[in-house]
Amino acid sequence: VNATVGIDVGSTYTKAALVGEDGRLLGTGICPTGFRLEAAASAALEEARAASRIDDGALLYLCSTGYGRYSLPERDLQVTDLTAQAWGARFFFPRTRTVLDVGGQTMKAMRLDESGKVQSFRLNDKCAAGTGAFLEKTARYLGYRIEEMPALVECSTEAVPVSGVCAVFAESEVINHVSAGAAPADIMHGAMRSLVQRSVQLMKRVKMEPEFTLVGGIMRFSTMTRVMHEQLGAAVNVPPEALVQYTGAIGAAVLAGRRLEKLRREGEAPERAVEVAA
Amino acid sequence: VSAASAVAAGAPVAELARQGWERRATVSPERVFEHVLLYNELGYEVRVERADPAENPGGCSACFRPESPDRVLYIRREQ
Repeated sequence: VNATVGIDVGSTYTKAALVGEDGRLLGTGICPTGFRLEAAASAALEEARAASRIDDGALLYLCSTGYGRYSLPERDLQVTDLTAQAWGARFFFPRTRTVLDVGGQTMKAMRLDESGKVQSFRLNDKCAAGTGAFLEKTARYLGYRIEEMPALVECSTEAVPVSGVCAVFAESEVINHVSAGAAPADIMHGAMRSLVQRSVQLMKRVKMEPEFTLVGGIMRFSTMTRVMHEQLGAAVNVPPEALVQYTGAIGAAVLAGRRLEKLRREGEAPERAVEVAA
Repeated sequence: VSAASAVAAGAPVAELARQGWERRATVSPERVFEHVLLYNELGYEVRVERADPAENPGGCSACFRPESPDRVLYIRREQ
């Protein structure tokens, strides 16, 4: 089986995905990005290759995305995060028209047309620092790890209000709630609701239309998608939990496949296998 | 990165709007390049201005660092 490669060099993690010529997802890999972007990409790709059991020579074309997309000299193609996420969302849910991507450092909303082209997009403003890092910070302050957040929120009886227009003020609010004796579960629930409210505001700014697809690492927590569903008052799509943070890499791999197909039709497909130096 | 991306100093907001610039985001200096690159690739010119806390709603300056002020990004379709 031959495959194309997508590598998403994100600010926190680097993800790799292999998509076969038949359109099936064959393997994924992940590695903290750190300062050596190329090494992280190589490690993520190696993990994906091991998971897929694909031969070294069967990786045919590489598309990079994410903020470090230009840091891979071996790439054949690079696309913006928005384009990759749009294609990744449509890989799982072809009728997607609005995508919300909540990452560690940024939040992005985009509206797509029927063909998947980005029609409108918005990135979060620093002054409304609604990102995964905000939830992680809140959890840490409360003495929990982010992985413990879902179970914690499930214990909540009532979310305490966290206005969260500004991350600095939101942090002060959390501190005040702790001092006032509020339960950590209710504070965490409030912080999550605050993040979701900001997400919905961002989606409104792109004139959201169903179907809605939610991606990004924070969406691996089902409580987050449940609160999102409540706030939107509409059904939401979420890729399988184990793959929700790979949508950018998957979208890049799909785009690599489309480009390779086009080059083959034109008789210009490269005749060498993908390698990423460690 | 387009030529319009150089950090400019204090152009009046009304004048920028008249020239077709739309205020898009406030970002920390270390993330400016990433955002400019993204907007450039999507077909936008980007203008980068130093953030002025006095321009924020209510004059909020909670996260303003005088030694490393944030940047405000303005965008407009490439002409």
